[in-house]
Amino acid sequence: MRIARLIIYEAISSFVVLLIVSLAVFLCSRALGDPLAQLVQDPFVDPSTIEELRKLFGLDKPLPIQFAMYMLNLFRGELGYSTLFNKPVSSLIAERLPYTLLLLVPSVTASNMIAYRLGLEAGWRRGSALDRVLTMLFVVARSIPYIVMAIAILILFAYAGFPTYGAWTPGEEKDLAGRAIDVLVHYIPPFTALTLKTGLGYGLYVRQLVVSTRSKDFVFVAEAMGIPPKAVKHRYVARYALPSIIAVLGLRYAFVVEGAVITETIFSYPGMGTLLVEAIRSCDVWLIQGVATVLTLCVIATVVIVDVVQRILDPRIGGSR
Amino acid sequence: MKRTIVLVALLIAVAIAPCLSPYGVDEVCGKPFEPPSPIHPLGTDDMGRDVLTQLLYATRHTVAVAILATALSLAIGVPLGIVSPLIGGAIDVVIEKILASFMAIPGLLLATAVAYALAIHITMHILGVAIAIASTSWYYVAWVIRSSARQIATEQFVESCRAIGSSATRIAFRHILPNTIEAIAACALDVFARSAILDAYLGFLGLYPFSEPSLGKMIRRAIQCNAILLGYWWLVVPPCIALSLITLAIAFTSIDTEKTMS
Repeated sequence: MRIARLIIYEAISSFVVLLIVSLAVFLCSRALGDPLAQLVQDPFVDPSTIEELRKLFGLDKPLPIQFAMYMLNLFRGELGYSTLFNKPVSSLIAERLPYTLLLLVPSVTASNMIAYRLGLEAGWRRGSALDRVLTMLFVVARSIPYIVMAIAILILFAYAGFPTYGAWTPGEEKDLAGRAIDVLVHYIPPFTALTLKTGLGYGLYVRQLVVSTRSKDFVFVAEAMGIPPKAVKHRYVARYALPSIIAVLGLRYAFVVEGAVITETIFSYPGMGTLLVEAIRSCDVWLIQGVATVLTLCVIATVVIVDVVQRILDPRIGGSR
Repeated sequence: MKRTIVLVALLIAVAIAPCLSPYGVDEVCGKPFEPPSPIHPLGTDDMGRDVLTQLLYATRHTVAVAILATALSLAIGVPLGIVSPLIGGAIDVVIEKILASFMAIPGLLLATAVAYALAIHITMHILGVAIAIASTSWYYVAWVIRSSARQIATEQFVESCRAIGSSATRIAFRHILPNTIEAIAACALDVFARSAILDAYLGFLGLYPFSEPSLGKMIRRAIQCNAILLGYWWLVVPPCIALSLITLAIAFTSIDTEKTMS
């Protein structure tokens, strides 16, 4: 019952969040400049044509009305038309979103597990040789900028003979198994880069949380009571630190979009990230709005899940307040 | 404290270094793609400009942007994060939702939009980039400080303070702020590194409306002229190392801070 109320509360509040974000995305896309700027500069385009286009796209109306139109269309599932690719935005997203999800979901899952396991071990054996090695690894992975790390991994994989461009080899007819292997081989380099960066990078946070939990009084009491160290580690320290760990791991979904953009750009992977960058660079407002809205929906969904899980795990924060 | 020295030394070196270079940033002073030599210690780029000179100016620019952006986002995020859980009730929930909304916006889009909007109006480009980057990190600061302050606000000593009639201002400044100082220091270093990296991202993705040399732009140019495949390592490696040095120095400093605080 408590969980059901929680989820309803989260659903309503994330709807409000979506409204605010849509407004911000709308304003952002308009702040980039005039979407028809290229046509205005073109001497062969008649000014009256531009006026007609403005009327057609609703760009002649005041901003609040444009925003209302955008929101109405959004709820009808109508995302507009990309002037850059000459295609409906929704078909472009349907084309690219699977690749981004294929990259992000397994990578985030794997990196969470890496961060939790290694961080817990390092924090539990603070000061040991294992801790020193892991901490060094965490610090380096966390502080080396992702661009640098991704370029290094690109060079390594290129030497090992992996393809480092795109998500499949174009122009080759293959059977299903051949295609699957082809996609997998293209998938390994970006997956490795993203997983290593996020997994090792966030191990340090987990370690710090575990270290600060270890020095709490109740851990000393548990140890003094003669509870086996393994049980103290998993049932006392890890359990107490878990809500904070999840909060930290949840925080990085904001990074994940950034990570997707950089990974996809460096490995020329055809996902939402590269689509967003192309859209921003060519001032394609409808494409920006569509891609940003879909990415935002994904982020909101994960934030809600993280929040619900955190509330269930941490009785101090309270239920469906 | 010896690890912090790395950061301080780096900052001083970065501030002075550009004055030592005999070339201008955009000065064409050799053939394109000259390998490193005594005259050009890091070679020349695709237009025949000295890579070392560009590197020095770009690093200074990136560090300056990171410092300004960190100061701006702390100035907004810390007060908001501390006051919000103290007020509690509906206002706290509203602030939480606003912060959550901002965290759901793709940071790169927000930063780019702010940068492009400011590029027309602002003449000080460093400030423009710094505001653009701070606009994507103040809510992160507020979120972290808020969750830290929220945990402290539920501790018993805060309750006792309320019970003996301490004012909200006193609780905020005398009790919660000193207890969150660890989180603030960690957050400041984190935001500094993030700002430097975001500056590089904007340059790397070609979303930089300003003409300043930046580390990200150098990497972008290098990749655009296929430096990795053609073996022009001196175009790719130096900006990558400079960027890593900045963030590694920050990491060393935060290890020091952790040791001093705990």
